[in-house]
Amino acid sequence: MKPSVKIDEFSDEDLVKKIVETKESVLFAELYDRYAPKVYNKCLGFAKSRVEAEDLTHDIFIKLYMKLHTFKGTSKFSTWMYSFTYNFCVNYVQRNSYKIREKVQQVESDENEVDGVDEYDIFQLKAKKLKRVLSIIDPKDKMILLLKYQDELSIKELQTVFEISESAVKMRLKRAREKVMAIYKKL
Amino acid sequence: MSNPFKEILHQEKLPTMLKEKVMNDISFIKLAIDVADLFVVKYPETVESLLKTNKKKL
Repeated sequence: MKPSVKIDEFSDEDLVKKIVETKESVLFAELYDRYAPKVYNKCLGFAKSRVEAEDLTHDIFIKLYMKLHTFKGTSKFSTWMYSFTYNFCVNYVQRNSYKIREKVQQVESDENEVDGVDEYDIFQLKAKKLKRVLSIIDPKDKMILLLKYQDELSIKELQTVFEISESAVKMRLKRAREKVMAIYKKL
Repeated sequence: MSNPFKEILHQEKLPTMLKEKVMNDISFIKLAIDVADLFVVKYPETVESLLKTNKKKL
């Protein structure tokens, strides 16, 4: 690494390219500084405690170092990084919690009661209750909802993340919103 | 219109110790990759090039 090159001036995409080429840990430290706080706070949304969120963040960055070459630049790095984080968290939650699955199955039978939930209805929900709903709902539905409404990804970006068609993205979102509403009403 | 999804986003400070832990593990992985590369790729290549003889036409 030449001392004249300022690492912090690199765009995320250039930084990733350089890390893949050189495997330099100094460069990876810069990427860590840029994304670790966001990743940690996202992990807190999936973990039961701070310690668990710290472990998740640690494991995500270790896996990221090994998998960074799979970023092909088809989307912004931040989009890819958020999806990487959520996928890791979803796998973690699914691996560790059979109880959640039981609850979801119970709720799925009531899904048909709520029909045609749009974004307006979703934005009317109370944050505290929504937090509880998201801890019960299927983590895959939680992931798409957070990507759309928390990270404000467009439908097009969601298409790249999930590698599915526009109508499939819209359908998944619609179903996730309906599930949220069904559980919300039960709480 | 307020977005409840933004409200539930955690805003906690990341523990500084975590960076040290991550970077130590990354350095160890890098070392392991480099050592493996040395013995599996570079060392055999060197030996091969040492043993290779250029046959000159007489």
